Amino acid sequence: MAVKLELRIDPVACDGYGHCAEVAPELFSLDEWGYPILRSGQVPTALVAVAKLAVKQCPRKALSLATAVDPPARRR
Amino acid sequence: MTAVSSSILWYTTRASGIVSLLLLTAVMVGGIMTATRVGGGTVPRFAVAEVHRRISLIAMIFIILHIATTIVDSYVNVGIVSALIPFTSQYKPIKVALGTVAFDLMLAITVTSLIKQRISHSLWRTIHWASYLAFPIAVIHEILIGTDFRFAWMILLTAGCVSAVGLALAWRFWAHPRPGGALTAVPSRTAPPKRSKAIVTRAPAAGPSRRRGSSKPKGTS
Repeated sequence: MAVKLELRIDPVACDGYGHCAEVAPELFSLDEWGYPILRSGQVPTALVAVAKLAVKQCPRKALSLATAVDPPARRR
Repeated sequence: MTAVSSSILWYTTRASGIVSLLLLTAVMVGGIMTATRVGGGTVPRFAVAEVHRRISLIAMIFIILHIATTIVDSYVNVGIVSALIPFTSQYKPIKVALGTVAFDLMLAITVTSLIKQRISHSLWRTIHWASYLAFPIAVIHEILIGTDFRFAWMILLTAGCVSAVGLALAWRFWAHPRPGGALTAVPSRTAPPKRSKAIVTRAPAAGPSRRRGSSKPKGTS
């Protein structure tokens, strides 16, 4: 099994441009103000490339991919 | 250098200069559109940003061609040093220097954008503001030194480019409310917002963006 990755949003850096939800609607939804909400803690293996693209496209550098911590699904 | 090849170089310098002006205008307008969050409907916002990035790289290629043919052309005495260091040209030192300064700024903007992931966002942003310096300097360079600027079509073209950027800029700073209309996931009426199925639509342009500014304070710069 490959290394499990999870997406992290820096809520201070994020300014609600919404590029992430356009690039990767599978990974992000947006709240009513246009700020992203992660659909799940871990990035499915099939979506790792899309997640990397979303990280790269963020105009505020507010997204990052990190190795998932256990327990895998951290939910608020 | 024979007369024929020299004139080819000279025509290339002039043509690539004009193409650079058009591309830089597109880069400026595209950059302003990216910053003001144009798009989100038929054309997604990340596509606007991506087009802005790619046109800027094409513009740099034409500017480098413009500089290279100027240096290689033996008719005007502009050395390779003048590509990067201003006021070193034998031929019209001040007017060439304007082009050099604009190119230096554009080079800095391009390099910091290419390594954007590895530098701080504020550094990238500060250097990116230099675009508003680089574009007018490049236009003044064209007006003062451009061989074709005595023709009506070139004057009209320049006026068109300057107005396009000027209007976009005026729109960015005076007419457009900040932040621009957000992309919003419309929550379904029954479920709480976080569990709703996201349908990405555009928020109405003017009204909610003002309300949003007060209801959710965020650092905007």
